[in-house]
Amino acid sequence: MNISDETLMAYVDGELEPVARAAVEAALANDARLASRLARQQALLAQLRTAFDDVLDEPVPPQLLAAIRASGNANAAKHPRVIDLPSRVRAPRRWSWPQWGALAASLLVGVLTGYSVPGHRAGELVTRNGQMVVHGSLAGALSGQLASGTPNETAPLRVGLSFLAKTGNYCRTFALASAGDRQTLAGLACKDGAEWTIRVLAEAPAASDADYRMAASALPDAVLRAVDDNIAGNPLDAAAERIARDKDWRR
Amino acid sequence: MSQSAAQIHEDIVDLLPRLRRFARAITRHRADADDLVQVTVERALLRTAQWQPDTRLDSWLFRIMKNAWIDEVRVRIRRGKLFAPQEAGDQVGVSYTQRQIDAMSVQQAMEHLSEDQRMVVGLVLIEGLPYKEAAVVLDIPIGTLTSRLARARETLQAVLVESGAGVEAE
Repeated sequence: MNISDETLMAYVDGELEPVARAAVEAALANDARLASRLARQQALLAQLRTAFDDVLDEPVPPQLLAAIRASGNANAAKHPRVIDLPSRVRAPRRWSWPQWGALAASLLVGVLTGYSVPGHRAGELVTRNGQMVVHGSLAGALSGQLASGTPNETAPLRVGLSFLAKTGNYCRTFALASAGDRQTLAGLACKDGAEWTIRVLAEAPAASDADYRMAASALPDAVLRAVDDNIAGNPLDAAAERIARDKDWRR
Repeated sequence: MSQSAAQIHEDIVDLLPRLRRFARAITRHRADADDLVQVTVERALLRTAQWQPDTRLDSWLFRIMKNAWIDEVRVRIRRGKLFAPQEAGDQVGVSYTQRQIDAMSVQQAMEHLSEDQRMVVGLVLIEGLPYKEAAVVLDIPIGTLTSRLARARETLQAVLVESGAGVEAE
C-alpha cells in the first residue's frame, strides 16, 4: 500500500481516524522504506519539541505574573515584586525558580525593558552551574566600592551594607544605578571564591541622584530578609569594610 | 471580581510557560517573545468576558498572540526596534551542551520558514494542537494548514540535514 506524505504526517500528528491509522501501521510492518520515512518525521518532531521544551522550565518573568496579579487584585501593585533567587538546596516549587536556565536572560529583559539601566550591564549577570555570577563593571564596583566612601557618579551600582555571613563569606547589598525615576533592582551579592554571586534581587524604588547610595532602610524587604538570614553579627563598619576590600573580600 | 474571572486569571498564569514557548517559536527571540507574551496577556485580561467557556483557553490565547504578533510587534520591528538575537548577547562565553547545540540548530532552521509556516509549526508540532484547533486559531481552512505544515516540515528537514542535525533520507 502506498502511504502519501500527507497521510504519514497526519499519522505522526495523531490526526488519523482509527481505520486509516491501522492501515498505516499494517503498511509499516512490511515496508522498511516507509518505516524510515516515519522515523525521519518522528525525529523532526522530537527535535522541535526538545528545542523548545526548555522554555517551559524557565522562570516566568516576574513582570508577567505581576501584570496578571495586578489585574486580579488592585492591592497587588502596592507590593514590590520580588525575584527570589533560590538556594541550591531548596526543593523546586511552583513559581519559585526551579531552574536557573534563563534567569539571567529574563532579568536581562527586565533590566532592558523595565529598569532603564544604561549600557549593556545586563550581560554582566551570567548564570553558571546554577549560580548567577556578577561580571564586568558590576563585579568591579562590588569589589572596589566602599559604602563609606564618596560614590562615583558613573558607578553602575551603589553598595549599601557589607557584612560577614554565617557561611564565612563576605556579602554586600547593592542597588543598580537607574537612568531615571523608574524602579531599579536591589540585591544581595556574596563573594564565593573569586566571584560575586547573587543571593537575591528585588525591585526597589529608584533613589534620587542626591541620595543614591541606598540606606539600609530603603532596601526592599526581600533583600533585608536575606541580610537577616545570612548575617553573622553586625554589618562591617568603615574600617572593617576597608580592610575586607583590601583583602579582596577574602578572609 | 467574580469567581470565574479569578479562575481565568489562574488559568492564564498556568498557561504562561506554554505561551512563552509558542512566542519563542514564532518570534525566535527571547526578549521579543516575552514582550509578545506581555502584550497578549494584557489584551486577554481586558477581554476575558469575550472568552467562551466551552472553547479552549489556550487556543483563545494563541489567537490573541497571533494577532498581537501580526499587528503590534511586527510594526515595532519594521521601525527597527528589535532586540539582538539571543545568541549574540546572553550566551557569550558559555560552552554549549549537545542539547543546546541541537536546540540552536532547530531555532536556526526555523529562520528558513515563513511567518505563516512558523505559526503552524508552533501550534501543531510544538504546542500539539489538533489540526482543527490550529486552523481555527489561524483562521485558515484545514487544507491550507496541512499544506503549510507539509512545506514547513520539508524545509526544516532539509535545513537540519544540511547543518548535520537532521536525519537524512535514504
